[in-house]
Amino acid sequence: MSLTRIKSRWTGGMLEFRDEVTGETVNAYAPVKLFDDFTGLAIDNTNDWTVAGVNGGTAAVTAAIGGHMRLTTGGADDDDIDVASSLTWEASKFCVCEARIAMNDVAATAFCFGFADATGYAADQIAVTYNGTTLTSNAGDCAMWFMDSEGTSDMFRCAAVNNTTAGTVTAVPLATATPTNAVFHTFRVQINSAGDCAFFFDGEHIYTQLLGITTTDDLCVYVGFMNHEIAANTLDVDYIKAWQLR
Amino acid sequence: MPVTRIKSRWRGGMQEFFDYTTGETVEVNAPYKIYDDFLGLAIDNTNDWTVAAVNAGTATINAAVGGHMRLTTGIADNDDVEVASLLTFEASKHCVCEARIAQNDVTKTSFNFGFADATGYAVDLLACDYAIATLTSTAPDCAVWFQDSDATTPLYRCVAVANNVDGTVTAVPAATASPVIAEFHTYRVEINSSGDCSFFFDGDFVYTESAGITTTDDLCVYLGFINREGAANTLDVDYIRAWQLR
Repeated sequence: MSLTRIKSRWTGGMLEFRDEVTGETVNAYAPVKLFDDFTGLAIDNTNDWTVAGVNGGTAAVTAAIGGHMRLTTGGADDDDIDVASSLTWEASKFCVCEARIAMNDVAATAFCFGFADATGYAADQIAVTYNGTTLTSNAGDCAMWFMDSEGTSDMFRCAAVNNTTAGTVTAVPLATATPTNAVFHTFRVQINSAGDCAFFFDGEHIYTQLLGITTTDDLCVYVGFMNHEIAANTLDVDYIKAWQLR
Repeated sequence: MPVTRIKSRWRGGMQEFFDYTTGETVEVNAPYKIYDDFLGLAIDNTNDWTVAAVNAGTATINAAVGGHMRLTTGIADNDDVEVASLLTFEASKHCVCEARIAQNDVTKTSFNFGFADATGYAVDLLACDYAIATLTSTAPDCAVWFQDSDATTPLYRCVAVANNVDGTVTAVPAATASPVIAEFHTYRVEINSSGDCSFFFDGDFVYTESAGITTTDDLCVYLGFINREGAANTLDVDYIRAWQLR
């Protein structure tokens, strides 16, 4: 018998059911919700997701147990691919998003996941990148988890950006998690009506950036993935979930 | 902190979670359910919905916060647009449907929402039309909410039709809700195994037509929208939900 420990809690006026063993939100009783477990045959980029990849980058379903979306970059350095929902989310609605993601080359790629103010950014850019110890935000507003191999130290980090002003970059301690190839983690971003952005990693609260994002901006659920070498690389996404008030 | 008042109840052998403040059914533990919050990029009229329109009418996504479907009529008087599910519902299964809808011109349009026995009707006709004080039911069997500007008095009304016999047309009192442009309301139709059709408006019970529909007819979730002037008009749908027993 598998061990789970599913409990319920009220967050933002919505009822969530979460697995305390894995940190996954199993269900949310919320007026508006988007759940994609990638159990279909293909990514529907006509009706469901905006997908933009340069140099032949793709978003495809891989038929792993449980269903995965695999993002594959082009073969050039800094080739990127963006996958996003519609801009139907907003801080005023207490929006939450969560995804389970594995990097397959932590030494030569970057990804980000969370809420952003556009469904895609310029070629060779994703919503946020991190080089050395410097965050570069291409999004005017966003609340993102990211891991960028161009950072001086490889760590899972989060940051919110409010009207082009970046908040504090906060890292998951290495003692908690070191980026490792093909290891899945659960990333969650929760924004309340004041624009406070709370970040959770594998179910654990890491940081809250107060007034972290413009509350009136329309937001999308966003995954960005970028290459940092001259060879194609992949990122696997087990699921994407998002929910908010009506 | 957002205020919701989500409670649960058992209806027809299924467990519903509903928000007392808005009348919305937030979640249902039912064997069979469909739910579209229109959060995607486009209306999938190949795989999800039957869409039929005359004179270039359309059903499209409108990327409002929370996600909307927008129906747009053609520009001629009585141009109509119909959106329907498959004919997979039946009274014997205790079927329920619910939608949140806003009319953007209450004085020059009409809409229907509920269950109907066909996914579309003849050009320039909906399942039910209502002129002055007379109902014309084109559907032999249906249970629908409607608001038709051809009526002498604009009111939200409901009716069930069983094998070409119209039931009682019942209106929401004007003191409760008069049709107002762009104002959303929640419409619910619930049919039990005896064919009794119950109608709810913003979560409040309005009327039950006993033995209101043929219990053996296959039904679809049906939304019809029709123009009553020589100019294009729009209707916004925030969500459509439907559920029943297996």
